Amino acid sequence: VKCSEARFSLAADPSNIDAGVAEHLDACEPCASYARDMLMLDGRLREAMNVSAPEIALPAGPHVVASSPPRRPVLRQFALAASVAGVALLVGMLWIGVPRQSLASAVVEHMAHEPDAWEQTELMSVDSIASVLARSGVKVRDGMPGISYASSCWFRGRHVPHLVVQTPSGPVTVMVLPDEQVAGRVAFAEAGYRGVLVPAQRGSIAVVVRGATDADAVASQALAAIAYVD
Amino acid sequence: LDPRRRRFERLCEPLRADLFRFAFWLARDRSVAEDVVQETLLRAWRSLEALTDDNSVKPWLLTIARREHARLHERKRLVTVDVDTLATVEDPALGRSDDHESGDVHAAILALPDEYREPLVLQVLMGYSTDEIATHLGLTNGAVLTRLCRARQKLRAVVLSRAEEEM
Repeated sequence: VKCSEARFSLAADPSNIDAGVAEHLDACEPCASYARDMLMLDGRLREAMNVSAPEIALPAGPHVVASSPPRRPVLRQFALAASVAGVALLVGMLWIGVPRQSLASAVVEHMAHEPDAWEQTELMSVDSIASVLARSGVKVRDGMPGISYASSCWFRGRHVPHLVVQTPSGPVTVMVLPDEQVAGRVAFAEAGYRGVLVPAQRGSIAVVVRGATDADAVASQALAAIAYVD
Repeated sequence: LDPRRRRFERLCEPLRADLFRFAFWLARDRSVAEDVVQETLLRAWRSLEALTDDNSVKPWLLTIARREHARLHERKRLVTVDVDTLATVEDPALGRSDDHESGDVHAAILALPDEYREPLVLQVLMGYSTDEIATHLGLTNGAVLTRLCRARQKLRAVVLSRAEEEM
């Protein structure tokens, strides 16, 4: 175990070191000192994270659900239905008036929150990719090599696959968005990134690149490689 | 009390404080955290039958809380606040505002990017293993280790610079 490996392991999980790191610490005083620092830091973190919690009451849910509620007179039921329809119409009108963040902006914003994703260059194994993507009901067929990052991310109300693919001109983000419909190919440029949204078998696929990377080529590759699991 | 209510109270009551702390470090705001906990408990109550293994109650609640926080964030488009302002506003949350050293660490945790802070809280405060964090966040184990490593490196740098200032 090298010093850099030992320190990575210590910083990631100082309370749980393996035999190789332990052996290294016996022979390397600077790393042993680093290990002590990390354990001390964890103690301080635990203390700082332990914020005071207010008394929050448990919800007083219904104890017994009536199996057959008493019938209401017809007129009252009609009045209730009319009120519900009126409220629904009002809510609908208000909802239409609420500006929603564009899909392209949301994709770029999400990507910007995961800066590590683009920094990883080591390719993932097929099994690891399959295991992560299965959580979002998606799998990748053969024909999409170079995946260095795969995550099932919470995005606009559901978990979606977030991939980073290594290409000769740099890393590319691919997000599979089964619930986001687009009428046709949409090119966008946001916050220094370029990308395309393309319609897919379910919803759409977003591809985000930097520099001169060809987003359309990666989008075509992704469309061919992504399969949806029922 | 009916058995369903008894089960709910037995499982959820002891975890309320942890749930709040987790929500607080996600939201970095006490009132938002309280909303998240209320919503989480309400959803947990409604879908109690979905919890088939009582031993899994903690990850089950934390997963609901994480989802509720994301939902609230999406719905309200929560305003971004400067971290220094946040540290000042949230000072009472420390419960020890006269302790500068602890306040520095608290502020440094608040300043961490979300993707570093959440796995760190799960590991340090909730006692999750890196495998459990990976499952909870839908990440690979390698990605979790990298985030935890970077989080601690950032925090260590803050603590060391503070120590140097005091010398």
